[in-house]
Amino acid sequence: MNELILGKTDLATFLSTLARERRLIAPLDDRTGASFGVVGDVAKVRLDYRNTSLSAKGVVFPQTETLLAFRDGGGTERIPEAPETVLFGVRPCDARSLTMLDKVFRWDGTEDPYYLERRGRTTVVALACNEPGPTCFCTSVGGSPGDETGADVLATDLGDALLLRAVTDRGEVLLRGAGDAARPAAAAAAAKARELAAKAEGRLTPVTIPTDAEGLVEAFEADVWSDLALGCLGCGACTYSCPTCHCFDITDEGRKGAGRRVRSWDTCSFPLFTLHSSGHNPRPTKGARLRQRILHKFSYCPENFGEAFCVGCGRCIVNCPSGIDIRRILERLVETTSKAGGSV
Amino acid sequence: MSEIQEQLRRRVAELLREGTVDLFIGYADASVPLKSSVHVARSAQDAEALVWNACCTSNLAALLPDLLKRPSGFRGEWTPPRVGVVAKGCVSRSIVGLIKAHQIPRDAMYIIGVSCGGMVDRHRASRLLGPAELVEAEFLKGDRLRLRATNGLEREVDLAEVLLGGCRECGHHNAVLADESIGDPIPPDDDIARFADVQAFAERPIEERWQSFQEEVSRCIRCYACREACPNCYCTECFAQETAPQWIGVTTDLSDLMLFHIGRAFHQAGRCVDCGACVAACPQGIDLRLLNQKVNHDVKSLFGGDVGASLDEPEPLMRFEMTDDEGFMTEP
Amino acid sequence: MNNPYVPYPVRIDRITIENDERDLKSFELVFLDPAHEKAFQHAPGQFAELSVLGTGECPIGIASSPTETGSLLFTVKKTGVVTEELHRSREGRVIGVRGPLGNSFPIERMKGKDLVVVGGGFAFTTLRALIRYVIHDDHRTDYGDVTVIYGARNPGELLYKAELDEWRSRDDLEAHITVDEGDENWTGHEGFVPTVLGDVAPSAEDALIVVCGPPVMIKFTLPVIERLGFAPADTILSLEMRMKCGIGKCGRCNIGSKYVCKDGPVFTLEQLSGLPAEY
Repeated sequence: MNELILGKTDLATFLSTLARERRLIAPLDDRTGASFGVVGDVAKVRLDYRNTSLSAKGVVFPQTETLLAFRDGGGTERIPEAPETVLFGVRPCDARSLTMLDKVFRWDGTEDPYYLERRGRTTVVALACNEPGPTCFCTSVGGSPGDETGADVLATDLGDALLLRAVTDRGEVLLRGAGDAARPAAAAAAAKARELAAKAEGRLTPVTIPTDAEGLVEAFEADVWSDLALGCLGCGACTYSCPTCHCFDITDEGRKGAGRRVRSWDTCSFPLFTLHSSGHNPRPTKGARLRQRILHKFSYCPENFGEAFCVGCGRCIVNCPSGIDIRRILERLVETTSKAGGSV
Repeated sequence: MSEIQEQLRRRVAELLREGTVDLFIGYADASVPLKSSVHVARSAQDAEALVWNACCTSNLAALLPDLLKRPSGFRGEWTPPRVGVVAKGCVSRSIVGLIKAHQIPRDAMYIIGVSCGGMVDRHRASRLLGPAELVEAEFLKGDRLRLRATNGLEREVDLAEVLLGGCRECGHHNAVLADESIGDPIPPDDDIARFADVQAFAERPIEERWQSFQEEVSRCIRCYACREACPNCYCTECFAQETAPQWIGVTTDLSDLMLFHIGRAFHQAGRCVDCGACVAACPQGIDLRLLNQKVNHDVKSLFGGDVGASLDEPEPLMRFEMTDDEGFMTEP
Repeated sequence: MNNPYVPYPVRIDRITIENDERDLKSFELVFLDPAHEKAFQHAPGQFAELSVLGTGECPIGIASSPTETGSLLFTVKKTGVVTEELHRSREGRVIGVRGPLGNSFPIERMKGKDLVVVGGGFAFTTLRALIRYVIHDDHRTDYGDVTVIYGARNPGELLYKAELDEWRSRDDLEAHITVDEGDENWTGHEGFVPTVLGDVAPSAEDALIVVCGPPVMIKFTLPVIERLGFAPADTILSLEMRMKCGIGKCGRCNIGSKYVCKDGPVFTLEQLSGLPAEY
């Protein structure tokens, strides 16, 4: 049951079986290429895509989420009634990003029930990359095109069939329920999958990532940030498309007597993010905010969670209106600070 | 276009060497096809990275107020740096608008005007390749564009097919305000039906329009890329994020999304130059131009004028004539 | 799973206007459910998110000591949307409190040592919690000499005026209350807090010093503290940051890798000097 072969012609049946008992979310055709959505017609699922414009984090961490509802002075929590969900066809970078979000929403024993409720009901079927794109750099940040981290099942496109490999117990359960559409895979299929993954890895251009803690501390004081941020618009395109960004705002909506407390995505790129009511802003310039974004991912998160919060998906590069490329920023940091880097 | 690019590089290097400008804002190649990155040149060597092509979609005027204003926390005497900028027609009109709104000082800028035949809408181009990612775009002779996707799929199209909406209706190919100009001026196209797509949309049944509007804005992720890319959105406190009072919510609920986009479109009235920077900036490929052009059309029909065309003329909503149409009051 | 986003309902039992400008008010809050009070065991230095459903939340230091059972005290300055709504509230209104959050003053490490408490303006709130805790009958003998130096712009701006008088007359506590500018009735010190600290010159031997105040006061007090011989590891501060979740998830209040809501708000000067200067 660990590895199954599913002919492409049987994919629709397989997906329909999954969709019968669960909410199936998969890449669907979209004007930006492909975009994750709830599948109605399984024929609309696209697997021939590099990556989506937005990540899949919205499945476990929606952009807008009600925390509490209140009426006449009393509030009640609104833990989501998340349906059993299969997140099908995410790339390994996105699957891996979920394990990073897990760390934040469980940090230090304080558990976020909203995130965990959704997360606990989500089975992840990742789709290995055979053809990384020019903006991909997963191998430079500890991932790979065939990485299984965060996946319950890893699927590999062998051309006329998908190899489905159960990674976790949850994945096994999913495959067991697949019915007759798939049959046990031969060793050759697994070998082919490994070959494809190795080939894909070879197509990635390595990026030097700053990793030395001391050098990164030095990076804070480096005089590069205002120039690096000059073209930055201070929008949220990078943050909102990023699979590991998780900052949020909490606001109350409604009028006297009835309403809700809502959390919504937020970004350290907005000047308002850290503005005190006194008018003081610890990060008053675009340079300071860009510095926070970069150092949070590559310095503070490694310190707090043991790994950089970047999976190398490249969405920030694709979506930045000013053409800012995070890889160039990282390389500049390695250059500028004598000790900052780095691993490749 | 490469001639303009060469001249631009040479002139900017000269200006920097002479000290006529302290820095020059322009475009450079980006890591992604059909995009450009914002480039700051401070030295003659930096100038070598400047490009001028059909991917230069950002409206550089949006960056000027920040560059030309006193930095936060700065004490004492401060004079703005001399900033050079390359300006196609719409960018120069935005600069004119910002000068008239007292957001930037004219004398701190050195404008190199360039004639522009239009910019590619990369969302439009990408869509021709389906879900595979665009990996290479090559400009060919005869105003053609060859696109190649990650899966090897290739397509060749006329540039005209994939230009930004505003570029297809452009009435200002050349800079209206410049200290010097590069490139032969492009004559105006008098027989272009401006506002044709807005008018066509307006003729559809209202249920269809409402449905279409909902579909467009429901894609929005409140990243504010459109707002930040726009030179007219220079407010230090945007209505969309104010808390005291709070005008709209910060969520992605449909009502909040609609109010944000309607609000922004109306705030543009009489100021939008249809540069398409917002459309190019949107990561979700939303047709923002639909709303903005509708407002532009209304302003043009009611009050006439040519936004940002002249430093001396007030913008349409900044002047009042006794003959102004008051139908909006008497026949709403 | 306990939901850390849900506030405990509390009733505003008493409101005290602390200053003439009426923009500083103390709120005594009583839990509606005694089980919540039991669960809310806080230590001096911690804060809580005060919740007004329909308006929002704001992080406020807990001004009462855990030894003051039956209610929680918060002193709030009117400065934004939520604090304005709190100021508009009347006694009897039910609001919410989420906490206790953050770390506390190092009361264990302080045992057996002398304690110097330096406060300025309305930052004195959590220092009150600390002082009340330390001088409580149950704990007083755990600690050595306690010196308090507290100042405000003028007599009207001093918080907890009745208590300050009481402290000045105690013999197990040395209280120096000062104002920048006195009035005809003022009998205490007149001078800035850093100056008074320099004059009082408490011994740094076997002592810890806690300082809370506006940035300008901190700026001028730290050199005095250094001159008196207090080590950075023995100099304790409490920071403020814009916050939302208060539990280290929303990413807003960090200074470098430390979150003020989770790893703070209490930091030693030694810890702070290892953090980027971004606060």
